[in-house]
Amino acid sequence: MKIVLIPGNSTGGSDSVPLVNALTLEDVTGQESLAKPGYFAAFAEGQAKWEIETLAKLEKNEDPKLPGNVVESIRVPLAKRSAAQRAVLLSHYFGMAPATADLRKQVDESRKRLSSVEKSIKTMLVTETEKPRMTRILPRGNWLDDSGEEVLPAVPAFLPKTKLREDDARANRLDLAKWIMDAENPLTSRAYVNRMWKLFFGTGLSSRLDDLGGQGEPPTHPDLLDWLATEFVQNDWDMKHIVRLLVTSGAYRQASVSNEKLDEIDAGNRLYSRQSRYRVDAEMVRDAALRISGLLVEQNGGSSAKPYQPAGYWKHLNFPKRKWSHDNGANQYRRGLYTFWCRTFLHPSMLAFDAPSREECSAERARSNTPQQALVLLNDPTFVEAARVFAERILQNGGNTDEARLDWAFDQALSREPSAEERSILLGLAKSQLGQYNADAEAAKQAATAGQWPAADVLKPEAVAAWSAVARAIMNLYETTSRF
Amino acid sequence: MNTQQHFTNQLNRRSFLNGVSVGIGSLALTSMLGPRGLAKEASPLASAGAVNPLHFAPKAKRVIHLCMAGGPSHLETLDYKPKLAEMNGKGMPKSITDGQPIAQLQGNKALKCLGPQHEFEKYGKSGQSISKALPHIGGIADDICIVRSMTTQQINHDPAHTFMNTGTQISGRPSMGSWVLYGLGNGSDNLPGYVVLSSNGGGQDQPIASRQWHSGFLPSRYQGVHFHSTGDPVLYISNPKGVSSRGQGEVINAVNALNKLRNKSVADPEIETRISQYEMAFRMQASVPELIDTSKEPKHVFDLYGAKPGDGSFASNCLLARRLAERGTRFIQLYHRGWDHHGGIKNGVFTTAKHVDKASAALIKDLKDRGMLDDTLVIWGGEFGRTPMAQGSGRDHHIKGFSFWMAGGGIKGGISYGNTDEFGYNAVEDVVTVHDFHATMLQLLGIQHEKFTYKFQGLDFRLTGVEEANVLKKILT
Repeated sequence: MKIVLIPGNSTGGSDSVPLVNALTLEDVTGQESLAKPGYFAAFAEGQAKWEIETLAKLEKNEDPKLPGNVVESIRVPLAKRSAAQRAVLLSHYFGMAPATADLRKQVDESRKRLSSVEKSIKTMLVTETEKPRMTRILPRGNWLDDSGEEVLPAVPAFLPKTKLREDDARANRLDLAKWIMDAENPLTSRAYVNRMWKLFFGTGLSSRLDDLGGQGEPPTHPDLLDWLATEFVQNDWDMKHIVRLLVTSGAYRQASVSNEKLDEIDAGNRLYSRQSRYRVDAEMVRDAALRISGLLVEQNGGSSAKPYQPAGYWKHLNFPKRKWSHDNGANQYRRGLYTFWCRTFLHPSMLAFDAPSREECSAERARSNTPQQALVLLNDPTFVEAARVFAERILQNGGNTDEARLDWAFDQALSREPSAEERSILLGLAKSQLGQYNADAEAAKQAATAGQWPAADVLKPEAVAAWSAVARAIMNLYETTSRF
Repeated sequence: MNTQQHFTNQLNRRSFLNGVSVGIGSLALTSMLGPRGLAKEASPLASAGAVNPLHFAPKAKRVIHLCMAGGPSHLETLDYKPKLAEMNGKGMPKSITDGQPIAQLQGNKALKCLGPQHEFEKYGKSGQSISKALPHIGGIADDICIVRSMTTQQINHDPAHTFMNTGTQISGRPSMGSWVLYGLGNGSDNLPGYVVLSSNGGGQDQPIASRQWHSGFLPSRYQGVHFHSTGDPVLYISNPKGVSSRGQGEVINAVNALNKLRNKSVADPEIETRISQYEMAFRMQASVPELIDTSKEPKHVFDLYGAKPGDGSFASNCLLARRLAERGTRFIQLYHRGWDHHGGIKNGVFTTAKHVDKASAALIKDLKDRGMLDDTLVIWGGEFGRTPMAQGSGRDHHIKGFSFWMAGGGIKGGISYGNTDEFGYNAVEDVVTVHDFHATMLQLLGIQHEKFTYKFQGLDFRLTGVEEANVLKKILT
């Protein structure tokens, strides 16, 4: 065990005895500092006793079983010891003193924890070839033609401040990184806040997220874009600051309802007279269903999750053949963000809701509205199971009457009460479904046990099956999968 | 979405809604009218897609692409080279091969000729020269146009398919099926407009990525829908366990009723679309099983194709392709993985041909019998060809000259177009690029390829790219 010693700069104890820097230990263990009254006295007393015992052994020519430099230092009278000798003795005694036993144990445990955390971190290896490869322009992309001009790392000439470094040395990735974050570079912060704006308002201030240049679209509110970009840089690139700024703005907090006049004046809502409304992204469609059902596991990080996926979906992959085994237990219910990403065959529910394959950089997703999406929400086992578990919660927590249950379900899924018409449609559905399931016990049992989540045995399968239908209806509403 | 795009989408949405406004009730009507009752094109230039009116009167209304994946050897199928037979085992002239892109034979100094491993025969009145490994395709020689001067730019399977489908090796661009569906719209209101079927057998099956039928930067509703031969033919088409068709219908009715109510207060066109998509999904839940269920096809049809119900074979897929075409699907793509014959090409081509020959010919005959060949364009070919040089007992990938054939909608039958040199290495006469092929296909569908663009990342993209592309006028009727 190594203990960090900072001789002579501590505040407790006598000047002659340098002290252990307790702060590092406290930082690591989260325990109280060892600088308690009386502690140093006890420690110093212990050390003195140990030194006397050791000297006695040495006089009797017994082997004290100590390192040479410790023996050497101990032979030097106290008053004549150098700082280094004092440190040697202190350090050695610290490692054996009964007074530090607890502390040493804590440090050992902390080091083990630290080491396991360090081992779990994946390191990106960056290698640089000693002699960079010569790169040429390939005429019409022909890699066999080496007649093209030789080129060096640089940024495109049309961009501002094209010089990557002051000297004439070959530019590297660090130079590029510095150029990207240069205070004089207006692009990075503008591009970033424009993308943030899109996240919260549905469209960027410039609708082309990946081109703020001449072939993109001029921003609708150039001054606002510049101000946000400047605000971002001046606040040390603090993303949360920008998020807070956007979501607390008056523009953000408007209702999204439109009217004919607004539609006529500003169909795309680029002037923000109302909030925008849109279907949420693929991952969030999944998250919302799991969240409403109560199944969502909000664990951060960890390995990828494998939700249910139709058998044979990967059969066109080869070299090697791959097989999908869905996760059991908690990993089945993790956020869409963690879904295993197979670029050539993206999970079909993600694909249906416009998630990109990630084969190429994609700054913006399309937002389509297709029958495949309806099929996913209606029939994908993930959503069917979520509806079944939601139904069980409705029956267990929603109250004793169907009306109360429906109100509770609406509140959970949509944060509002159903209207009288909505209530009548869904109660009609519940009644009809219950009648059908009462007449078909086998179907009721199948519907009431959808998915791998344990069924609530205390509930009647017919009731769970019927309310699963109501839950599916609610979870399939455009309102449920959209931001209004 | 810019204003113009928004406007276009609104228009599409409106025309789509008009088409399906009768809702679920139309299901019964549709089946009474029969599959072809769906054809709605009133004027010859009217279109349900983004190109409306069409630029020309279309010769073809739909496309069936029989993709021979893996790179079929033109030298054993459609392009007979007696000189190569003569040179069998002798060195390939360096003047031809030096400095040329090569895949696996790279670094192999002694490049030797491999003579054609199958005999060829003159078929039909037209006397087209076709391999004896493809006797059934020989039987339709008078209906097809063989193009022997095809070229591509990509020498490995995945990028070559991407190039063939999207006109560029760069991923993220729409496939030709998506472009066609975008331009023309769907001809069916209860089946997807772009369907992909796949089968394998006869050689090593190279993977196919779903990128090949992706809509790229076009809205994702133009994506190809992959039909599966096991499990649900269309993903998530079956009702959940314990949910009857009636029960599912009630849930969908409730969803649509609630969406309609909601829309009264928020008036959001996306909700209108959502309602129609749920109706479409419900119709698909009935129409897909009806499509897949071939039990009502007479025995002679199965015999014609050499198909057994539900076997997932290329032959079954050809039959499904015909059924899809009848029902209005705009672009149908069949992948048969099994043409990658790096070794054992003699038996390999023979075996793979057994999987596809009869059914390919059957499709042409069947379409013809039904009067549908006139307005259906059928394309047969792979992502590239194979080298005249031997790779052991097989051939390597080759991009400088290979063959494919087309038939139907606006294509002259019984002719060939273009030629390779006497080794079958370089296309030398009437050289065809992938962009020429795309331009020709679009022309037949009534679209002038230069005018068919989509704005993305500040550019007006088109399937045929920025370099000159020529319609193969000589092969058009």
